[in-house]
Amino acid sequence: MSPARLARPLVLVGLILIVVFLPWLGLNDYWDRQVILIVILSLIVSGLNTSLGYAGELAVSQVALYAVGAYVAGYLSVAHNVDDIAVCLLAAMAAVVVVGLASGIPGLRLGGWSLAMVSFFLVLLIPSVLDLLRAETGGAEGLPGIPVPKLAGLELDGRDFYVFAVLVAALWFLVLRNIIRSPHGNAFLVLKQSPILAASLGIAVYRLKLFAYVVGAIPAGVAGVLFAFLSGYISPSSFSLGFAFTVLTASIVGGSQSVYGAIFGAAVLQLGPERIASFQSYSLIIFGAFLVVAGLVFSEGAAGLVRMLSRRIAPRLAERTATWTGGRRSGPAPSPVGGPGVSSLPPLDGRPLRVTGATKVFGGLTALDDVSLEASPGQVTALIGPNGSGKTTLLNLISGFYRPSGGTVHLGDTRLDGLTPYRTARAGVARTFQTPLIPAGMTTRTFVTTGRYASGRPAIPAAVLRTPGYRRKVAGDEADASELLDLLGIGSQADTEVVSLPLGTRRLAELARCLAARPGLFLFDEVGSGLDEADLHRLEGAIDLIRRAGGTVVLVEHNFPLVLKLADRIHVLANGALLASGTPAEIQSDPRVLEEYTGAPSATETIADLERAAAGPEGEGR
Amino acid sequence: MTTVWSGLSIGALYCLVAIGYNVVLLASGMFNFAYAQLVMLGTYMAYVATSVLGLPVIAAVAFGGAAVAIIAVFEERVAIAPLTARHGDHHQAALITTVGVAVIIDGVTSKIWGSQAKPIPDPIPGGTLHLLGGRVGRGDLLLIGLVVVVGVSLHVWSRKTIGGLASLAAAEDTGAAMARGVNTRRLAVGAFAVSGAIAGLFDVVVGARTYATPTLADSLALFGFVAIAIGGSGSQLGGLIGGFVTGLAYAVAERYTNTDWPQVIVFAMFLLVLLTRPRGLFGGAVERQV
Amino acid sequence: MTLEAVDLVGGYGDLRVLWGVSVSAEAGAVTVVLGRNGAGKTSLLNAIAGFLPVVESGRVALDGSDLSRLPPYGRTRAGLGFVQEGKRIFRRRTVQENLLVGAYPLRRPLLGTGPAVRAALEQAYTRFPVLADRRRTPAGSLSGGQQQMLAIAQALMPGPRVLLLDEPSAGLAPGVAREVFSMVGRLREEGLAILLVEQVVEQALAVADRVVVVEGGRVAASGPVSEFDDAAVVRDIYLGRRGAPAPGDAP
Repeated sequence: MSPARLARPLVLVGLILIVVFLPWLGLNDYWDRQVILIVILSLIVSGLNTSLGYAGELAVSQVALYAVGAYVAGYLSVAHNVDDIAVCLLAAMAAVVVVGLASGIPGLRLGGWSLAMVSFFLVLLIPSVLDLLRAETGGAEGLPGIPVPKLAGLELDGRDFYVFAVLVAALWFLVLRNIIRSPHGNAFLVLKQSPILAASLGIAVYRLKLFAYVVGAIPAGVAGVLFAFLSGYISPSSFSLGFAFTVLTASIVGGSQSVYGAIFGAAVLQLGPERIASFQSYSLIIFGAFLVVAGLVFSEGAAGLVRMLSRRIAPRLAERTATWTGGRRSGPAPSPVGGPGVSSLPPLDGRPLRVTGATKVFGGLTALDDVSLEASPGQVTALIGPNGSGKTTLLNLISGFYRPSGGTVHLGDTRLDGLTPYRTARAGVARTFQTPLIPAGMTTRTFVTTGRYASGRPAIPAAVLRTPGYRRKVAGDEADASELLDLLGIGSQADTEVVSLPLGTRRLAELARCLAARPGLFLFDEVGSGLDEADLHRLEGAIDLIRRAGGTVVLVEHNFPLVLKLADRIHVLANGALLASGTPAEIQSDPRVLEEYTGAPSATETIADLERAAAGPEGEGR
Repeated sequence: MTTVWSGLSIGALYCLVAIGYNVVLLASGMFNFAYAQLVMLGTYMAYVATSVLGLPVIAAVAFGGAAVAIIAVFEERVAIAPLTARHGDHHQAALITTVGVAVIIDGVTSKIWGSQAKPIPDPIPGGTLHLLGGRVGRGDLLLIGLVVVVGVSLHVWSRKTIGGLASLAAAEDTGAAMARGVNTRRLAVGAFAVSGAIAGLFDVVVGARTYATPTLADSLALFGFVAIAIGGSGSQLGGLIGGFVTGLAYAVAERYTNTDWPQVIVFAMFLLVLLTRPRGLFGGAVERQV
Repeated sequence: MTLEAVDLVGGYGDLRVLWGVSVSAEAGAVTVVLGRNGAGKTSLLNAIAGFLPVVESGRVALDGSDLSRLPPYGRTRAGLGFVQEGKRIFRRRTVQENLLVGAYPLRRPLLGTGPAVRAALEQAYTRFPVLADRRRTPAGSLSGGQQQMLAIAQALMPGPRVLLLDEPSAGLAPGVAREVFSMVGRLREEGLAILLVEQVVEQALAVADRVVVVEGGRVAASGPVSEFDDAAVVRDIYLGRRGAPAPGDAP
């Protein structure tokens, strides 16, 4: 661990302590209250961030959940004399989780506008619901007389309450940080880049979004409890749509994707109106303008600005280094696969793939017509065919993105057809994509560890508590990732941002990501396209390693010479049907295959002839 | 029957908002969150035209139509056009920018006109009629009739004219529509202009019923969206039916319970539709393509 | 020359895929663009039609007038008919509705269709009788070959002078592909300038007047079809050997 990484927690603890002891360092009552209000707002904003920033869904329901928290505390303490703040917090958390689930399940089914509208609706309903529960909540007149809270019998007054509020918030931010900086946080980054990639890594997209949304409910509920006890009186006017816009603006000011940005945004939005007299009457206009600008220009707020600047500068430095060392544009050249000393992978548990009668119809179009094929462990099975012949359709069918219109798919004894993509991934299918899908904001090593998500991920409580088991698992994943990257000859890129890698290295990184899953089946979709000779050579080496370790590889490829070199068996698809199957030699001498490729109705030449001709004087003579 | 009439006339307002959402959705696939704010702006235009400037009703209608259309086009230029110019998925960003526009309009109206409701004179005074066994205001009847006429004509336009079909095509596949010579950018601006003009032309008819108040838009936006959720987004007829169903549910709930229940009941209906018929009652299923 | 594209350089974002490509198409003739997958064929057509996100330099002219600054719909209105890759018809609309969208650039009254549109519709149904029988069928439920015919018919609605066809035979059974090629031949007879991107070499050569081979985003060879001995062309293109640019040039 670098000294900087060791120092970081110490700095944080120091900051928390300073804030905790501010009252004793001369903070007056006014500021004391302001800090608590900032803490409360930052909790709500942080709740909003978990859905907007991480799950990528706009929802302002945190304001409603904040109201739920406040009224649970108010009701319990006024009507039932439960003034223990810990009890109130637990009750509020339970209540907001229930409301979060009830609104999140229908809203997230569709996401986007539907969720946004459900959440706006929730906020709009607050006065009506409070009025319906007038006996308990006081309706529009509000609920006065909330007592000073107790904690284990001790009254939390003045400074005690201040310290309590700050510590509760600090605890929440610690929990959030530990979730975000864990395999689950990486899953959010993947999800943000591409839900398709996420599903293919075994991430249950809908459940992860729901999880983010419900987790985001908790700080809002906590904030509500704190607010109820701070002010002693609550009324519907504190939970308006206008307040929802304040929270949204604070989230965007601080950066929705940043853990601590919420505190900055909350401070700006809490202190701004207090400091600037005319701010109040123009606040809506200013918030609105801010939302428009933020939506148009920089979507990551203050935190993003810092990150963007560092991103702009870092690659430029790297480029300069590359020119100094005379390196290629792509940075340091990867060493050959399985460099000195490493020439094999530990054995892989490849499983046989059996596709029987697979059929797929889109509208009136039969994209795949009764295709049966098998792929065995320790072999590379190639699928070739012209554009539109159904190769990618078959791949999508095996990996669960399409439901077959007929036929079955088995991996070993597991039936794959009908499974959703993420369940297919968890059943042991790892795939790459024609255009590599690469999430922003993670290193190559972390990217490779996301491959492990399907086979096993630490429990969330373990991540929050950073248990020894969790630490072992994460360290193990990272060591494994480093090893795989070394094996593929790109170990030197482990700490580089994966989006900044050149195409050839990205493909190798994707291969490493698949390997990290130790899947029963590898599906490679056009891994060779767009690569130069050197990259192709490394790729061949890597696929050969997987084969020799006993992996089952299905390769969809246009590049015929590459297929001939790598494949043990080749299946040729044409117009959605299987045209021919056989060894490379058999396929090369099959006149039907050439016909399909060239349209020559009765070609006398076969691809074998072409190969022979090509290997002549002007060929590369490999 | 009086309840039914009152439901239909509330529903007509939701239909109007749904129509506005759909016009833009059908031309560019974008969702204009601020549309209800445009309807609200229309009522203020009616107030300015009738009470401040003292114009006759016809002039007030024309004034509202022009003014709101211009504001809607301005919205498109500022909050939508820069997004469509760049690549990738911009629906989430459009959601944030149009919410921003909605907030700005809320802020501007309450800054200029305050929180007091501004009355707008009824274009056809003469009180209520007895019709089909219920009482209904003449203004309400006019509103219901006009909304149905506008909704149905837009539906027919989009299915039967080349311009309308081009708009549907652009919403389905913008790139392919461009290849067919459809000026998709002008179509997008045009959709904002038309939807804005509709909001403005209804200024007096709506305003006489609701008055001009700054809180009008928020609930209209949501109930209009419920109408779309029920009717299936992108279907003008569906939006009409959804709007009237929502209005009727509201009115019936209002008739038999106290004033707090209707919103809650409509919300429950909304969640139910999202859960059971996520594409709306009239929307077809479309298989996701990778 | 009816269509002239000169020295096109461009690509997607940072990725340059065209490194200075020139092609042309003449009235009453078919120019076939051949090349491996990823050679830049589709990008070339996209650049000509105005769809390539980044065009750094180069010029596209139709009958001498410069189209380079026009947006895609402007180029269509100027007389370019573009049939995109993958049968990009409007699947939810019927056959007739698709054709009417194709007629968008024609002069017509605000409501209704007008004589020009009716004549174009008539001509489309005469040319493609299969479509006439399925006017009210949603385009999404047509067969692959019918969808391709519809896409071509749609592009022909405004009466273009140049037709750009991007792999019209992709995913079609050989017999259906032959029909598509014979349609291309007939359109040539009618005097259209045709630029055809294909990977089914043999059949494409059968209708070609001129051939352009693209490799690595550059023109590797071009000339009248007589210069292209069939088998040699197949081999060279398929194995990517014809005048391939030196390694390191490609991005």
